[in-house]
Amino acid sequence: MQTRKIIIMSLLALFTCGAVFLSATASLADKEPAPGRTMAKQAGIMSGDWTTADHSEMEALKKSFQSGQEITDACLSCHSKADDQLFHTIHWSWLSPYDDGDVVGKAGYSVNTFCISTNKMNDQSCTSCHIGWEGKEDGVNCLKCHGQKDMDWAAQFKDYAFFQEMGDTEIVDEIQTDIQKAVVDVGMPTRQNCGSCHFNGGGGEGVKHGDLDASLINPKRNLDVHMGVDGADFSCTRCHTTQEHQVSGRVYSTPAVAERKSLVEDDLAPKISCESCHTATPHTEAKLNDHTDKVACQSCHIPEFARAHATQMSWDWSTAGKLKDGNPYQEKGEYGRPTYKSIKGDWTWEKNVTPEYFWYNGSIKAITAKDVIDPSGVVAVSEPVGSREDTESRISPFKLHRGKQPYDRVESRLITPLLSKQSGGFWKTFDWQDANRRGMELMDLPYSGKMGFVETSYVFPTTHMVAPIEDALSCNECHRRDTGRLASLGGFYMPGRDNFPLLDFAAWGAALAALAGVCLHALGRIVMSSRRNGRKKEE
Amino acid sequence: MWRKSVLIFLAIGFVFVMIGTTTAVEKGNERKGKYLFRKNCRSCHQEGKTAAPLNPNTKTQAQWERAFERFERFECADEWKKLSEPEQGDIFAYLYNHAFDSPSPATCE
Repeated sequence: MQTRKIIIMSLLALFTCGAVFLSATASLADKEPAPGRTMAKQAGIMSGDWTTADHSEMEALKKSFQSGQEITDACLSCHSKADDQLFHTIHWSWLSPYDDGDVVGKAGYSVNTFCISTNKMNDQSCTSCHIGWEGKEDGVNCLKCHGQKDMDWAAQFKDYAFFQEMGDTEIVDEIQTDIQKAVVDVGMPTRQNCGSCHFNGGGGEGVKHGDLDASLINPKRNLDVHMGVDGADFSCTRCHTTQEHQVSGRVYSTPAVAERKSLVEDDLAPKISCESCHTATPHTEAKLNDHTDKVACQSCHIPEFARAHATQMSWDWSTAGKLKDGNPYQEKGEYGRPTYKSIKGDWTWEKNVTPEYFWYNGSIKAITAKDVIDPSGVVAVSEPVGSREDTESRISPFKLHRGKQPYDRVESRLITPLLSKQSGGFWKTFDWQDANRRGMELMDLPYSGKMGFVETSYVFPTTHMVAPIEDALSCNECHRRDTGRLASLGGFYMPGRDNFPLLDFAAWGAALAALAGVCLHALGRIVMSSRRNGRKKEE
Repeated sequence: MWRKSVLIFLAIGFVFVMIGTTTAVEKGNERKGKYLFRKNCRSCHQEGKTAAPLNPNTKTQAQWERAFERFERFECADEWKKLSEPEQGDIFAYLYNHAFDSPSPATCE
């Protein structure tokens, strides 16, 4: 009787201790934010408006501007080094500064699964995003990135010249007033500035990146904790820090950062990696911190991309060129986005997309129009570099865009057709042969005249649209059998996902044997104890 | 009697045609319209802005006609009212002449 009492008391005590411990840790977690969050808040403490000049008072800006270049000259009269700095950046050259020669970059031989190539910037519709007033022919348009007023500068000056010639002084004065107001309204680039190009890559909103679209101009915190207007309200430049106009974060064959350093280690380090502000041990739970050397923060904290606007997931050029009654047409599908365009072919769109996961050390391996391809399989136009063995690699989330695009069946190279209407390309003529020949000529590459279509793929690292902590992935999204998010990643053992039947059998056998041993031992103790008690009573 | 009926019929037809022409928007200067559309409409009707993106080729000519007849029902009716009638006519000319089913459909460059 007494023994039963002792056992029940012990169990109760154990239960109470457990409950107290759990509630204590839970309340601790409620009250104290994770170390990574605390560190990040400290890193961001100097936020605010650091402007020290009112540009509307600058004499150089109190004038009538007849051209874009006159505005640039006015800016340079004070910011004298700015244009030279810009000329050395990829924003101007469209060539990777990290690769030799003029091969890698939009202005080189780089290709993609969207509009394929800019034909070395000769396809006119591709250069609308360039930061020059007239492509590379004229000076830098400082206001493209620094202007706080959203303005179509090309149209503005075109209209200005037209109405000046027509003698319509009322409209001319109106346009000049708008120009002057915009010129003095300058500052650090906003999400709108960067987004005017980067949210519209690939020829339209949400086409290229799955984690960058117009929904980030004024996002809610639940779409992006960093940029959310009801959250930290970061502009892009808070993480994409700049030195001499070189903006950090560009990924080509070199990673965005050579070294993952926190600001605690180096206060001048670029703030482009999560670790910069959050450190490499951001979680309260040590088990989660154990992941950070092998799993990118983005893998758990961006459960899905394209959570507000749909993003394009595939582009099939092989169906382009169909006409209805002799005219090009388009069809719209779900999300109100086009699913077919005569000029471009078939498109698919998706929203709330689960990323695909790859080992990634920060570098992307991409082919160019010069490279010979193997058309028998899917050609990876770009793919992440990394492996489990590489200590710099982490499992990272990606948008994988799938394409089907023209290639030269004799030369075994991807073709770079000239496309835009303005350049008299395929979108005007619907003549593949003419577009291919002219496009390849502009690239100084041969074209055999024999075109086929090959399946291709292109990757985008997913790093924006970081979700609030409550939406981060739970353990069993990956640590589960068969259907986990990392089911396709092989070459390593992951608890919950992988098993070795013989070892499992042996382990369970050992555990059951241990349990049986404990039970038998306890039974023996109880029996022996009762016997001893019985003998004492008899005595 | 027969002639009288024909005349009355024609007269009614004429009245209807006149009503139709008076309610339709007068087409103005297309080039000015392009500028005014960019300045007054595209500031909101763009991707990422507060209203659905609009280009001349977003609608057919008939749809643009209807839009200009019924603009008072739109959320931005107050903005429309700030434009003078000739200005509205200029914008209409630009949109109508480059509508989806026009000979030269266009997006805003």
